[in-house]
Order: sequence, then structure tokens, then C-alpha cells
Amino acid sequence: MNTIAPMLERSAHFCRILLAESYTEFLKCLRTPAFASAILGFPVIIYLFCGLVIDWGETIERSHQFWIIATSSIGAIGTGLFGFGVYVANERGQGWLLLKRVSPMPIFVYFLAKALMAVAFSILISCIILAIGHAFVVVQLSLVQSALLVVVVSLSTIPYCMIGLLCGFMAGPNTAHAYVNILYLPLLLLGGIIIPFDILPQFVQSIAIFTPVFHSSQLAFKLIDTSFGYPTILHLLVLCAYSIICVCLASFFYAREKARTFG
Amino acid sequence: MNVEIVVDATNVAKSYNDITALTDLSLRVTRGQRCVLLGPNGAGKSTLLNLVLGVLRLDQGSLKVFGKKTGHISVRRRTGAMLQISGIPSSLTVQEHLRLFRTYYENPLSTDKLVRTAKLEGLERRTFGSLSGGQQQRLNFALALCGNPMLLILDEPSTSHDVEARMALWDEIDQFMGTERTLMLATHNLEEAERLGDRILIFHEGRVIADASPEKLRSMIGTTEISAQTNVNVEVFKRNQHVKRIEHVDRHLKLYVTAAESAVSQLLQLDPDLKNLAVKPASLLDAYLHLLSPAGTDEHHRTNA
Repeated sequence: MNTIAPMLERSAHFCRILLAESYTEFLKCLRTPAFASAILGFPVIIYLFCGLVIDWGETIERSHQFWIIATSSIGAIGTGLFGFGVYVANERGQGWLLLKRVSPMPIFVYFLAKALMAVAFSILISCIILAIGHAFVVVQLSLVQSALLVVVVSLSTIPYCMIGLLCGFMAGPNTAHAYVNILYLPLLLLGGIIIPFDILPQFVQSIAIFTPVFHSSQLAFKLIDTSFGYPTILHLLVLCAYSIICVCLASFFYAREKARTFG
Repeated sequence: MNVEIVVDATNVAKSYNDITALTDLSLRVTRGQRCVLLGPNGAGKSTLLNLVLGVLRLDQGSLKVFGKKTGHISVRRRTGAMLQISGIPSSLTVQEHLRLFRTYYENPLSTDKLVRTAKLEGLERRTFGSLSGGQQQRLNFALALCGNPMLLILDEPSTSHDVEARMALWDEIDQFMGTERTLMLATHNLEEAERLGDRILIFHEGRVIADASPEKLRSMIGTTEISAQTNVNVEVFKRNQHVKRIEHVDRHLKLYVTAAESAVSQLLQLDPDLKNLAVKPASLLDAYLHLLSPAGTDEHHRTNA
């Protein structure tokens, strides 16, 4: 009893910090026009253009489903890389991370809250896209497929957060945005979510299967039975491996900086 | 009576690659002391504050805060910090920032008290980005106070303040400190140092070259400054035991003395026609400049508070 009460108190305190931190992160991003318009706007605009405006002829049913999934995946990649990685890098450069470090908040809560914010934005993006799809298109995803898409998209945001985190700590605060931009477009192209995977040259395909985008998009495409049929566990393992490697490398860069300078 | 030691540093050293930031620093700060760290840029002031805050790692020596290793959670709960750059997000309101920081502490000060203490009344709903430079610094100060800290660390708190705002901030700091809290403040502003500090440490090239109360520091170069325009031969003053320092450039003579009356009468005897005679107490600036001059650093004054 004596040990449980303080533990519960500590947990409650920790949850309060996490809640406040996540809420603040969400508000902060929502109120930053550059973030809200780029991260929310980009996938939605692609969906409006490719999913609704373009007439895909006989393949219209499959195309609508494809673009819902593809643009939701783009949203997850964007929020993870930009909303998490670039933000961490910027706040590190501006001293906000340092102020957090000298306060008694556990620093991992800061990162956890940012990851939750990225997941929340991914969910928001896929919900907007699904809502547009349901409102304007006759043929769309079923309710179960839509719910599963939201789950897959929210989970696949995490590896991109970790990749973003690595970019944020590897690059200087002012160069993280450039690093992430360099990474962003190739990832989209290699993952088969802007250009269909099977029209990519063979050698590009052989590289692409090692990218996280290929695996996260394959998980999503499984919902409409257009994946290449690799086992789900393989995709999950690859995404987990990416996350773990990126976290380890980011921790290394963070520790190196902490030892050296003001971080 | 046991005096609580808040900061206990022994032979602390810190370098950044090949640059030595601090060398062999030993320091004890007790509860209720208000320590001001003075010195030129790169002298080691901010490095010491960052070591105390636990955001930098020591290369050598030992450093304890409230008897614990720096950066320990119990230390962070009792310490408030206002850093030179804090990158406070501009899109959140004053109230949102305070609400967020209050959650970090188990027994935080109330939002009302923070707003009153940092004179942020009426600004609660304004975003950080819409505040003036002085108001932003006051929010920064309020964030440092959220946990009702017993050790307050301020790194150049009044930079970017106009005169009124600076004086208001000093009052706010002064009121908050009371007699039980400990202050460590780094500044370039000597008026701020005199106003807020009861112990002044002067840093030079990573070392503490003076550690004393403001009064004691002033007395190091004499308590009074006598200035005049005269052609008198200054050699005679070198034999006067009350004269601590002499500056004579062209016809401008400055004497720093411990007994003004005897020096003034001696000066008038030697040159009854002297001009622009002025007598004023020696300032901290005089002491500071003297200590940082080549002659001063050679003497390497080190007295205890």
C-alpha cells in the first residue's frame, strides 16, 4: 500500500504532464500557418486533384481507393518528418528544448507528446480525405476499411517521426528542413504512392523495397487487396527496425551534443 | 547554526574542445545568498550556470546542488532558470505557457500569483509573439518561478529591456527572492549587479579573480575617487598610504583613496590652481575595470564575502 500510493501519484503526475504537453503541441502546430497549410494541405490537395478531378476511366473505382490510401500515407510521412523532426530541430536551435531540460519534466515526455501530435495530425488528415471521399465519390472504402486505414496510418506515422528525429539531431537546427526535404520526395516516389510501383525501373524497385515507405504503403494497400502479398509481419518488422535504428542513432547524436554543448 | 550549502563546487573545470571555459573553480553558495557573476564575454559565467543547471557535463572536479548531483530531478524541482535564449513558442498565449509549465511541478505557484509577481496582468490572453521584448522577458521570468524555486538562476535577465522595464524587473526579482532563496545571476550590467547582488564574482578567462561583496570590491581600489585637472607631480602620491591607485593622463588626474580628506588637502597644497576638482565614491565599475586591467588580473584579488 505504501509503495503503491506514491507510484500512482507519480503516474498521475506524469499523465498530467503528457496530456498538457500533447495538447500544447497540437495547439502550437494548428496555430502555425506554415505547418497547418503544408502538412494538412498538401495531401488533401493531391487527393482533390488526383482522386476527384482526374477522370480515371474504367479504373475509377480502384483509383479512388488508391488515392485515398496513397494521400493518407503521404500525410503520415509529412507529419512524421516535418511535424516531428523539423520541429524538434528548430526548438532545439531556439533554446526551447534546453528550457525543458532544466525543468523537472521528463524529457522523453516532450518527444512522446510530439509523436502523439504527429499521430493526431495523421489521423486528422486521413479523416479529412475520407470525409471528402465519402461526400463526393460514389465508390469509396467501407466503414471497416476506413477505420483500418486510420489505424494503419496512425501507426505508420511513428517510423517517420523517428526518421525525422534522426534528421533533427544529425543536422543542425537550420539545416534539418533541407535534409528532410531531400528525403521527402524520393521517399514518396520510391514508395509507390505517387507513381505506381510497377512502372518504376527494375533497379529502382530493388532499392525501393528497402525503404520504409514501401512497407508502410504496402500495409495500407493490403486494405484494398492491391499489395504485393508480402506477409504483414515482414512490413511491421521492417518499420520497427527502422524506428529502433533511428532512435538509437538520434540518441547517440543527442548524447554527443549534450556532452559537448548546450543542446 | 548550520548554513545550508546550495551550490558546492570543487576544482571544477570545463573546456569546449580546445577552449578552456572554466579552470579550477571552487565555490560555495549558501542559502539566501545573491551571487552575481560578472566578466567579459567568454569568461565562463554562462558555463558555470549551465553546469549548475546540469545541462553541461563537468570535465573535472565535483559540483553538487542542494547536496545532489546536478541535473537530479529533486534539484530541478527546486531550481528555476531564466536562460539567455529560451525559444518560447510564439503562437501560445501567456496563460497557456504558464499552465503548461505549472504541470511540471508538484506544488507550483498559482497562475494568479505568477501573473502578479511577473507583472503580466492583462496580458494573459496575448500570444508570446505579440508581446514586447520586455514583456516576453517577464514571461520568461514567470516560467522560471513556476515551481516556487529555492534557487533562481538568471542569465542576463534584463537584456533587451528599456530603463523602466529593467528597473521593474529588478523590483520583481528582489521581491520574489526574500531572504531564504538563493540567486545566481550572470550579467554585464553593473547597476544590476549592485542592485541585486550581495556577493559578486568576477570572472576572467575561466577563473574567478574576485569574490566579495560590492562594498568590499569597491574598497579594493579605494573608497573614494578624486579627480582634477592639474600638472602636479604624481610621484608624491605614491608615498601616501591612503592612495590605492593613480591615473594621470595629460592633465587629468584620478586618485582612488581610502581617506579623501588628506588626499584632497595634499592635492590643494601642491596645486592651489587646480581645476574641476571632484570627489565621489568609487563605483563598482571602477573596481571592475581595475580588476580586469592587466595590473588587476596580475594581483588576482581573491577575498571572501
